[in-house]
Amino acid sequence: MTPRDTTTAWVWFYATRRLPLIAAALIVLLLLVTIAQRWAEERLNHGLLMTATLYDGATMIYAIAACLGAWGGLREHRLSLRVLDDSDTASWRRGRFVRIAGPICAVTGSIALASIITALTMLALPHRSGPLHVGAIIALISMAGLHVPIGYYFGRCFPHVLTVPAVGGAALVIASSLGNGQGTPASILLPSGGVGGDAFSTWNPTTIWAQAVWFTGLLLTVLSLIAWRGTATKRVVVIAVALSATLICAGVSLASQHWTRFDAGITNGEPIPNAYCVGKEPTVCVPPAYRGIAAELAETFRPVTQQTANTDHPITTLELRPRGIGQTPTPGATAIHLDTAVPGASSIALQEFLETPVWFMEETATP
Amino acid sequence: MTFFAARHWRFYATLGALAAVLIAATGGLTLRLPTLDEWGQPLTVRFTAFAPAIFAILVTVGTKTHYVSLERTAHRNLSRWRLVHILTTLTGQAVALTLGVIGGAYVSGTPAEVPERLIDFALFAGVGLVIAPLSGATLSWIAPLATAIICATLAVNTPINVLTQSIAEAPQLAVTSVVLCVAGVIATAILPSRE
Repeated sequence: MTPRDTTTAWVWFYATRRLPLIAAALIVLLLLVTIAQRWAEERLNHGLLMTATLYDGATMIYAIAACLGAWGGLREHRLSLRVLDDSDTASWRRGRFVRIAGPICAVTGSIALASIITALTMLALPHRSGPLHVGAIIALISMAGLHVPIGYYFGRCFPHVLTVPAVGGAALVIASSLGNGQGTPASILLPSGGVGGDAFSTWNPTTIWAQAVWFTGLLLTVLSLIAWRGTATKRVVVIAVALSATLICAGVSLASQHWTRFDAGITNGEPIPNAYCVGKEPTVCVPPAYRGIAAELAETFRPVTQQTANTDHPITTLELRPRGIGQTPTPGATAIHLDTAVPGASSIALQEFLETPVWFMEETATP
Repeated sequence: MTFFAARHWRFYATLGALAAVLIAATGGLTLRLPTLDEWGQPLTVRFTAFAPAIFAILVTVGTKTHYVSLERTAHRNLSRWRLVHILTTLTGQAVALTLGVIGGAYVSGTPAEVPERLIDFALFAGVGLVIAPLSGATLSWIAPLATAIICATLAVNTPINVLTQSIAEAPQLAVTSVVLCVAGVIATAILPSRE
């Protein structure tokens, strides 16, 4: 077979056999972006952190990635090319590598693209909350990418009609329950959702980067195994395995310092971490997630604070605190509460503040 | 060889029994969905809420036949067998679901929500059986799974959500589910298989 014939055969092969999977990956990309943007807006409206929002949305992406991978593996099995795969000529080894790596790269690439589009959309929202960690995006793409080859090999090894939903369901259960304990190794080493993390929490960047390194190492290991079955030379495979082993060890050792993505949250009288303060008389201090509404809060509460200016206990500083017992503000500040960061919601906080009969005695600390 | 033999009903009956044991054993398992409730808190549901979708997938995929040409040629003669088959599998999986939910409630110490789960099962199975003649049994799992995912994500705070609404809160759900299930059974019985 001449090179031109080989090229034509591969183009024909991809046009007839790979288009369904590539089309499915593109449809999933559109769906993911649509759903993720809605989730993001809903969460940011409630003052949740952007990075936690990405983690939560990814829980469903893992299941979809595993399903697409298993479907690709199932289709691969039905092509019945196993006999040809057993031949050891260079061209078939190369073809085998392309056939395995092609669907995996298509699905992983579309998921990565969807994650990046979603992240950029979240950054463009006016009431964005908290930092968007690059390490978290890398970790999420690696985690989702890891599900594709795993699902693929399940589809190849267990070619049954129930394999695809079973793999997707298992991925969903693992991400939603097994890796969901706060402060446990499983919550860091298994793909999982945001696990709490409200607007008053702070991220632990060490753990975020530990996850990025750990999952990238795992993904590299799987890709090395695929390359080993393909055309890669032994030297390249040895280097890849050594690199992935180093990443895995580094990730585990980094993660073992904390085993949690968030701190314990704020307690009685403790200042809000990384508080964003704005305005004078009153000065309004909010967690970073509520940064977009801080000026509006100051404007809304100004008439009330001006009325207290000539009293024994003037209100000069307002502090957005979580609800609950043991959440008195820092000395000299007055607590206010708000559950949503949507522009225009400051009137809700004012109404709640005015309707609380004992607010002045209980929540205003002595200067 | 009867129509039943061609459908591998024993295999799906065994899977249904295993699924019932799984549901019963994991009755206390809680899933944290990637969506928020109306108060902005992450929504958590028990694993048994997804049991109807699992059994519905077994029903829809169980309509797969390895004698599609034969059935297509003689589907008028076999539609009665097809009806008997689908009613039998629906009943069997419903019984397995009931046992699984009761077992799960016993394990977790929570009340058994058998009527709710059976209504959900009717909805998921109905959606799957309506789609199955079009998509083929091989891909018919997509419809119940997609319905479950939509209920767990996009439709969480709406009155049409079977995961969070009970029969008392949304009685129209029960009517819709039964109608869909009947439509699915009729569609599977009268339409020839597509594989």
